[in-house]
Parts: sequence; structure tokens; C-alpha cells
Amino acid sequence: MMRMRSKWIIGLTVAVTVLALGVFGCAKKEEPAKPAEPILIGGIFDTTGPTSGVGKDYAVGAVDAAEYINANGGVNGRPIELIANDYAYKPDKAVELYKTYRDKGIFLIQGWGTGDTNALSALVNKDQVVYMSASYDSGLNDPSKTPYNFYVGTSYGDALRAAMKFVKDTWTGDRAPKVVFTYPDHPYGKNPIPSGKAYAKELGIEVGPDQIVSLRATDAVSQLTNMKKFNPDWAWIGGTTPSAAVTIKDAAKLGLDTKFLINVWGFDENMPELAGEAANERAFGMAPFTFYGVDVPGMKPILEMHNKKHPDDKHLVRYVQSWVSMMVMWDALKRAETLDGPGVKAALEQIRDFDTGGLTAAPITFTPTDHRPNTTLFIYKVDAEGKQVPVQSSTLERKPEWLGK
Amino acid sequence: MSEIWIFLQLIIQGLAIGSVYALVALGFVLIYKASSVINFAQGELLMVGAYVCLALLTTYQVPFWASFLLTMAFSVVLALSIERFVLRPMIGEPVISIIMITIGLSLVLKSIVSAIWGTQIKVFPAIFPQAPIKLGQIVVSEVYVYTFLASMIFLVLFAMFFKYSRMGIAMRATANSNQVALSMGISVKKVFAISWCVAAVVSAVGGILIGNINGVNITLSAVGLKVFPAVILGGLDSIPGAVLGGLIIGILENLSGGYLDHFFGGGVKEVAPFVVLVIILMIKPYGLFGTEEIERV
Amino acid sequence: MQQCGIFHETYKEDMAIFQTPFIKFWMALFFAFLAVFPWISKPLNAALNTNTLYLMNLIGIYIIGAHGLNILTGFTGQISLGHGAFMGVGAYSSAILTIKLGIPFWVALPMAGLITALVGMVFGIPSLRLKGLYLAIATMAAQFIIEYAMRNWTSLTGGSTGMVVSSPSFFGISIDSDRSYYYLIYAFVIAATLFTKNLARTRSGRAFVAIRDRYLAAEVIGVNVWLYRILSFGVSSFMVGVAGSLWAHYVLVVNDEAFGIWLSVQFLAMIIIGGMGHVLGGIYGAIFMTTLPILLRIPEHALTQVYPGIFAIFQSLTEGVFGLIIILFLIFEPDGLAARWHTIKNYWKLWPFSY
Repeated sequence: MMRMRSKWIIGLTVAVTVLALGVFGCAKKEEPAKPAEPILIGGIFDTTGPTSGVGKDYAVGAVDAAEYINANGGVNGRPIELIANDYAYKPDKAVELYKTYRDKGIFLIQGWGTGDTNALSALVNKDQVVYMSASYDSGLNDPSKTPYNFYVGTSYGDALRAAMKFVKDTWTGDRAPKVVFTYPDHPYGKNPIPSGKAYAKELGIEVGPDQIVSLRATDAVSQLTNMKKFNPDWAWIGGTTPSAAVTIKDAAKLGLDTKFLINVWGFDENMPELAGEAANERAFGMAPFTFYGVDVPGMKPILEMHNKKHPDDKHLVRYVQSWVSMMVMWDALKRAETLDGPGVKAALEQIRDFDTGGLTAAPITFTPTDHRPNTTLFIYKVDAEGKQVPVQSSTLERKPEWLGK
Repeated sequence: MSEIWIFLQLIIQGLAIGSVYALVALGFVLIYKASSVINFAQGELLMVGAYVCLALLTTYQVPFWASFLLTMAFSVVLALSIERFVLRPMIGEPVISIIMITIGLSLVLKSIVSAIWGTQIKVFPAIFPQAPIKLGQIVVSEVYVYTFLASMIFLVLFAMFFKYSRMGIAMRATANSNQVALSMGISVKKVFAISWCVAAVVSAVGGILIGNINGVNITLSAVGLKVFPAVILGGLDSIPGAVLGGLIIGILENLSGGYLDHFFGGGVKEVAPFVVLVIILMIKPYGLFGTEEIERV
Repeated sequence: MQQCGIFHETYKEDMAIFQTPFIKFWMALFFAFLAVFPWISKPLNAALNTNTLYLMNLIGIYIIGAHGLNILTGFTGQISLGHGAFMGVGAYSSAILTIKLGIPFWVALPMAGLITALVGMVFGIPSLRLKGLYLAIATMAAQFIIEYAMRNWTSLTGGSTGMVVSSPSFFGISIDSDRSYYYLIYAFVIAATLFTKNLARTRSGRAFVAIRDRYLAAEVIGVNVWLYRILSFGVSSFMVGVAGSLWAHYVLVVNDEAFGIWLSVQFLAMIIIGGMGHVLGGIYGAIFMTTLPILLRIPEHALTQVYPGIFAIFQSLTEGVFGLIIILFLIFEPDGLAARWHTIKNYWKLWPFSY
């Protein structure tokens, strides 16, 4: 009995050891580099979570852009590989993905939301990983605080200021214009509000009580009933397109004369369809990017990719947004002296007046002391026929005191 | 807009939203009454109904009346297969398992819908007049009037069904005791299947109506969660309770949103029904019209 | 070699946790493996396409939480759909105690557990009057109410922006790497597992099981049903709270998005798949539920190379796969992996003479 037991134990131990060695051996064997090893890029997208309504198209755009880059020579001959993963808008999931990418040696990430980008920014800057987010949160554009965070859209703070300026400039009444802020309970909605309010006060705009409309709202009657008491001339919407459409529809129903200025993620090609006639002459969008399919030189490769890969799909301006982010990244990768975080960061910070082929309202510039891509955006509106037309392009000063706010 | 009009507007809007809850709650109570199953996938049944109808209308260009009927037919088939393949093996299993299996079901339905139709919001072509109805200074979408009517019609139909029809009485007997029902020659399987079918159809009607208000997306299924406060308030096994509970929860939600948002920094609407739920459970767990269970050893 | 029968001569032998030298040996080997795992996990990263150590740490945290829920649901038979939020309470308590009040992590962690236990007991009060299905609904309401508080009590919780937490330190050494945190987590995992295992053998544990099986009978034989139900809620939430605290100081960001109803469902799925009422159930379940999404990423990744764009469809199916697994387990393997493992073991015990 005793002898048999020890035999078993020895046998099993040997078996386990052999197996373990086998696993190690196999893993080791895979490591030698292939001829042109791709440059890995981490993707953290929301394709199933609360912002997936806009997030899925963004992710598809990034994946297509990666293919386009590879078809056009890659990074000095080396292809890139975008690892696209969904994090369902959960910050902890984003941290997990980030750590996985970092430990793979990835030094460049295409990320998504405001909450998680902010949460990761401490880690990212410690690890020297370049993080290009779809969150244009103003808190991320001050390189003295977040040197490794980049984005390509006009910051939310600047968008809000541009909106206030637009209100002031177009105001013709005798009294001060009245404005109310509506936004969802998310960092994306909340973060730009204080700087927007401060600027509104500076311009002499009267600000009413804030209203919270959740991203998943299916009606906003109680919020708008409250808003009606103050009866504002303009209202800011800091949500995504579905909740913005709900707000506008219910406002029209309740007979409010208020017009709405909507942040970048709340105004896209779906707006006229979702809000119907309610949006006409009522919905104004802050648009740092050209809408999908508009005839500008930069749109050509996008349409090519679209026709080649999924001609039946419908795309939004979100596709353009991630495309631009990938193109800026491509440019920096090609010029980077060293292919690592600091090298790409330095290359990004050398970008001066990067021509997006008309995909953005203005060329993009990054400097080592200022990560605001530009301070210009289009103001679109839905006209009386339900078409989205540009009203004007609005440029703010690059004031140093607005950096990071 | 004076205070009194604001108050009335909130009440009317609450009734409107509440009638949607009432519809879904009806389906929920029906399943519970017949088979003692707590269905966490009720909201998903609503969502699936809305999406199927939408797809028929837009992708296949079927006229509304036909797509409405086809959606009902689809709901019946869906409900039958759910009952047959998912719930029937669970007969006699503990409550925990049954709750979990309906949660599992809700995940599956949700992911199938998002794989087929994506997560972007989709809008119904205008079926009902878009211009709101005005009563003094109060406005309400016309769709809500239909929702309210639908919930009332179903309420009356179900109440009569349970009171007078053979099948309804058989269902009540089955709910009371499976074994007794079986020994009296009632086909318990048939009763379960029918209750699921009716519940799915009612939910799909709710889905189509609510989808007409502000479009359809994956978060539509969240309506299913609001059903719990409604049915607990009304009493889990009471048909009139479900309707009344739904309406009260709708009103409560809007009043709290209108008057309390100011103090709590917004979003009170989302949570108020659940606070009420906990309070009811603590003081009157069997709701307004629910059957009180008395246990004897 | 396993023993074929039970030949215990003393009570001590009968009550031992590791009963045979065979098991003792394997457990020793297993613990040795756990101890060296952080040093050998690197090659696995490539194979699983993830950070294995991070995964192990998450598994550890979920094991503690799953044990907690298993005590409540598996032992006492009280279903809870609010454990995700309770874990959030633990995480937020710990964050607030360390950041706002400057209390060291080692004190904040048990305090977070206690606060969570208190919250859990408050929401457990309906369980005194209600049975299973009502309790499920009550705890679901707790889930939403707590989530709302986390999101809107801005002065305390930082609102939807959440809070940034710092890593704990041990005698001046900061525990901020995956490797050092691994040892911290697994110390707690072992403690929690031993606690759960032993709880089942105490007076309270037997009272819990009696309540689960037939609470009226339990009351008749003198078990104070009220007291033990609340106690079960307390113990269970305490463990989940500790898990939450560990989570907060590991992920370093506390935000309400992480503690939604989905987490509560995941916890329940863990103990159902693992095996309700089995100590090993929590462990198997946590491993299964945490590894599955990572494993699902592998085919997804491979397919994405061929058809980019398919990943969006794939990712929406992940949740569905979870749902399907829950359904299949409930129908075909209602006692979970722990029971299946037991059956397999018993089969081989008598092999080739099994009947």
C-alpha cells in the first residue's frame, strides 16, 4: 500500500512537471519575431454598454482605419495591429484591459470615455503610455498634469464656451439671455459644466437650475416641466444623441420656445430621425468634425473603406472621429524617433497644423505645453426641412487660463 | 405655467408612463399567477416585440396592421419555446433557480437582439399622430392614450377571463396547487404555456406602443425592472393590482422627479419606485390586493 | 491513492478538513503552486491573451465575495440580488475612510466590512417576514437604491466621477504591484475559505442550513430564525464588503459603474455554476465566471483578424453566453461544478470496479 502510494505520487509529480515544462517550452517557442512584427495598439471601446449607441460606430471606424493604414504602407513598412476590446463603459474593465496591454509592451492606446480615461490617467502617465481618448474632457489637455493624454476633438470646455459665445453673439433681446444646463449623471456630462457656467456669467448670461437627464432616459417631461418655470432661451444638452432627442421631443411637446445647444456626442446624423420635426430650428450641435459622407478630400479614403468592407452599413460622424484619431496617431508613429511612449508623445507634440483633409473644423496642433487639438468647431443646426446644415464656424482664443478647464 | 398646471402635467405624464408599466405588469402577474414563476425577462419580451415589429415595418416594409399581427404571432412562438425548453424542466425547482433561469433568459434575449439589430437607437415610422393632445395647458402624446386604453382593455379582458372562462379558472386552480389541478384533470402544461403566450403578447403590445414614443434601443428592457415596484404595490397575484400599481408607480415617479430632483441633485425618478418597494415590503408585503399567505405546519 | 472507505477512529479524524495523506499532499502541492504562481505566470499571458496575474487577483477577490453570497444563499437559502451593490459599499467605505479620514488601509478594511455588514442587515430586515421571491425583489431594490446613493451623494462618494484610491503599504513597503497584491489577496482568500468551511461545522452554520431546509421545523427545534437570518446577512455582507475594499485598493478607482446589477447577477451565477452550499462552489464559480470572458476573447480575436468588424457582434454575444451557461447549468447540472467534481472523483475512486 505504502509503496504503491509513493509510486503514484512520484509518477504524478513527474507528469505534472513534464506538463508544466511543456507549457513553458511552447510559450517560449512562440516568441521569436516574425519578419515584420506588427506594432500593437490597444483599443478600449464601448460596444455593449450605455454609450454603445455611439461607441460601436467609433470602434468600427478605428478598426477600418487600421486596415487602411496597413494597406497604405503601415508605419514605415511595419503593419499595425489594433486590438479592439469592449469594456462596456466599466472603469474597472478598462483598468484590466489597460494593464493587459501595458504588460504586452503596448505603448499606445485608443481609448473611449471620460470616466475611465480620467481614472487611468495617473497610471498612464506613470507608465508613459500614450493614451488617445474619445473623451475630449478639458481636464485632459494640460500636459503639465496629464502629459500622455491626447485627443483630436475640440475640448468639451471649449465647446461649451463656444456655445455660450454663440448665445451671446446671436442675442438680440433687451434683457440678458437665459440658459439652463441639462446633462446626464456621468463625468462626460458633468465635467465641463463649471467652466461653462463661469464663462456664461462672464458674458452676462443668466443661468437657471440644472436638469439631470439620464443617458437611458425615455422621457424627460418632469425635468422639462421644471425647466419651463425658468423658461430659458437656450439650453445646453451634455448627453448622447438618444437622450438629446428625447429632451428635444418632449420640449417641443410641452411647447417650450427654448433652443438647444448640444455637445459633440449628442448631435449626429441620427438626430433629425430620432427627434423628428421637433428638432427643426430647435437643435443646434457643436461639431468639431465634418459629418460622415460630406464631400471633403479627407472623406475619400473613408468612403473607399466603407464601400469595400461594409457597403450596407450606415455610419455616423463617430466613424470620422475615430478615423481622425487614428490618422493623427499614424502620422506621429511614422515620425517617432523611438517606437515607445515618450517617442510617440514627442512626435505628437511636434504636430503643427495637421491637415485632416477637412474632416475637422480646423487643423490640429499639439505642443509640449498645450494638448488642445484646436479651438475651432462648426455649429450645425437642424433647419426647417429637417436637414443638418452648418450655421457658422466658431473659433475661440487659445487662452492659457482655459488650459485644462 | 402656474404651479397647479405643473402638478397636473406631472400627474398626467405619470399616468401615461404608468400605463406602460401596467401593461408589462399584467403579463408578469399572469405568469406568476399561473405558474408561480417570477419572470425577470418580462422587459426583454417587451423589447423583442418592439424590435420585431420595427424590423417588419422598416426592413420588410410590411404595413402596420400586418406587422402588428405578425409580431403577436412571433411572440406566441417565442413564449411557447421559452416555456417548453427553459421553464418546463424547472418545474418543482427552488425559487432561487427559477429566478436565476429567467435572469439567464433575459441576458440571452438581450444579446441576441443587440447582435442582430445593434445598439443604436432606431425610430418607428410615424404610426400614430405626432401632434400631442392638449388639455388646457397640459400636453400628452397621443400614443399614451392608446397605451392607457390598451391596459384598460386587457385589464377587463383578463379579469373576465379569470372569473368566467374555464381556462381562467383552471389557471387559478393550477396556481393554487399543481397537484390538485393535475388530479382534477387540468393540463398543467397547457396552462403554463398559455400563460406565457398571453404574457408575451401583452408585453409585445406594450413594446410596440412605447417604442413609438421615443424610439427603440437595448435599454428599453429596463422597463421590465420598473414592473417590480408596480406588482409588489398591487400584490403579486392580483390583476387589478398590477394595473393600479403600474399607474401609481408612474405617477409617483414623475412627481418625485418634478419635486424632489431639486433636493437630491437629479435622477430621483429612477430610484423612487424602489424606495417605495422596500417600504411596502416592510409594512405590507402582500401589497394592496395580493393574497396573504398564511403558513401552517 | 485515495481511500475507498471511511475508517475514522477518533472524532478528531472525522472532523479534520484534510482527511487523508493523499489530500494533504495535494493540498501542500497546491499551496506551493499558489505561492510561486506570480513568478511563473508570465508565459501564460501570451497563451491566454491577458494579464494572468491580474486575472488571478480578480478571481481571488470574487472568491471572497462568492463565499459571502454562498453563506447567505447556499447555506441559509436567502437569495440576494444586491451583493454587487454591497461590494460597492465596501469599496466606497474603504475609499472614504482612507482618503477622507486618513485611516490606514489595515484598519479601513475591517471597518469597510463592518459597515457593509450593517447595510446588508438593514436590507435583510425584509427577510424576517418574507420568503425567497420577495427577498429577491427587496434586495434588487437595495441594489438600485445603493447605486443611486453612490452616484448622487456627491459630497461623500465623489458622484459619478468616483474616487481615486491609493495602494496600501505594509511596514513602509507599498503594495502596488500585481505581484505583491496577489499575496495580500490570497491571504484573505485562504482566511475566507477556511472561515466558510468551518462555519458550516459550527452551531451557527448548522442553524443556517436548518433554516434553509425547513425553517418552520428549525424554529420548532429551537433555532432563533430571526436572529440567524439577520446574522447570515451580516456575515455574508461583511465578506463581500472586505472583497470590495480589496477591490478598491487594487483597481485604485472606485466608481458606481462597476457595482451594477450585472455584478450581483454574476455573483449568483458564480455560486450556481460552482455549486450552492459547497465551499468549493464559490471557488469554482469565481474561477469559471472570471475566466470565461477571457477565453471567449480568444476566438473573437482570431475571427477579428479574418473579418474585422465581427468583434462588435461577438462582444454583444458575450453576455448571452453567460445567460446560456446559467440556463444550461440550472437545467442539466443544478448542483454545479462542485457536485460534478465529486461525482468524477467518486467514479475514479473505485475504478475499474465502479458500478
